[in-house]
Amino acid sequence: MNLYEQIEAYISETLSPEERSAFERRLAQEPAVKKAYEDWLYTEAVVQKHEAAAAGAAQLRAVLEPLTREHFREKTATVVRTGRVRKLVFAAVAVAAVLLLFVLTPASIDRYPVTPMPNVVVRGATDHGKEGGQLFNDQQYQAALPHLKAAAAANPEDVMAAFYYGVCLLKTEQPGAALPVFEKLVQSSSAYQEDSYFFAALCAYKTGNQELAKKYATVVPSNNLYHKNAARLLKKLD
Amino acid sequence: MLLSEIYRKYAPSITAYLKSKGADTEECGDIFQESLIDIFKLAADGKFVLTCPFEAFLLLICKRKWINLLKKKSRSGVTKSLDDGYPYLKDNTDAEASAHAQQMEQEALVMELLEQLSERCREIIRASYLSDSQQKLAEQLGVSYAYLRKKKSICMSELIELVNHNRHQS
Repeated sequence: MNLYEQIEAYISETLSPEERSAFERRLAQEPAVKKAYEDWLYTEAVVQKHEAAAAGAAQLRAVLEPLTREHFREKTATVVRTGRVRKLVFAAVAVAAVLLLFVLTPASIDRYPVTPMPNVVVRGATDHGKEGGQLFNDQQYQAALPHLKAAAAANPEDVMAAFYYGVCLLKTEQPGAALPVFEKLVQSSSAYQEDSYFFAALCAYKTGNQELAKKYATVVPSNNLYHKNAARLLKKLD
Repeated sequence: MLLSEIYRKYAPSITAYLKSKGADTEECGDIFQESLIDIFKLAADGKFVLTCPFEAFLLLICKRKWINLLKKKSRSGVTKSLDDGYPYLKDNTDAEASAHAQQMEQEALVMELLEQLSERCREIIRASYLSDSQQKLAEQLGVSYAYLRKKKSICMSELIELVNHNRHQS
């Protein structure tokens, strides 16, 4: 199996437990594998989002046409509104209202993306990493915390468990405890090193250490998922 | 905020700006409308958070659409810089608006490059994200489940490589 076949099999949960573990090790240790996996997730998310939005966009266009004519064309065309058109208008206005709700929501430094913990739906799995991962992906951070802590403690080489343990601490408002976890990860040369710069910066910011926050936020590479969040943090620090 | 209010608040100033760069009324309307639709698509999954004033973002999208239109038409006669002539925005919003616009363009690039794949690849990728079950999808497409998965991984790798290649070029 080539890399993309492995990623597909991993996502569709058709790898054996041994193959799954081997792939997760590569995911944690090889930046190129992590990048290919993240590229897949990104591409998948974009296609899914745009395909799902296509119907809504057509409805929205039907609502915008008369508004555009009214505000931009020299002569306004007469529109006879049938019941069907009115229904369509209401549906699209509802869609647009949802859009605006999201668009106009103010951003905060706590609005950062968290990629799901790769692992985890291995049927019958009982180890802490898998269980913690499943809880983490269900956003049950408090419940995930002891499992991820145990997984990270059991194997200091398990950078994936350490990373998600750190995020879990942050999500449960324990930035002081999360900071050393991420500071250790930034010293490693794992696939989580670059992401950890941002999280270390966020932890430092939340614990009032502005200099340290600036130091870490500045070094988040421009192609990293968290670059935009780091830039937002730096703006707050200025 | 209602859509009509967006038009009422922003259409006059954006029209004046685009007209000063050479656009006619109809082009202004098309650009304004398509920009709103693009913003809708960007925010469709509910994860997008705007971190700059809406006006700054809308203006930037309109501006970029006008530049693209000019490139397509290879129109000459625009002498003023596209960065001049819109006095209502503060400079520090530019970076945030640019980052959002870049995200929008990256996503548009993925969808544009999807169109460059073979018909079979497009069909498999699109259908696989709209179908609840990959097994059922395989049946619908008249192929085996194993073939569908293998073909999907090939198609996705082609798309990802196209996206990476084009990103590096731009």
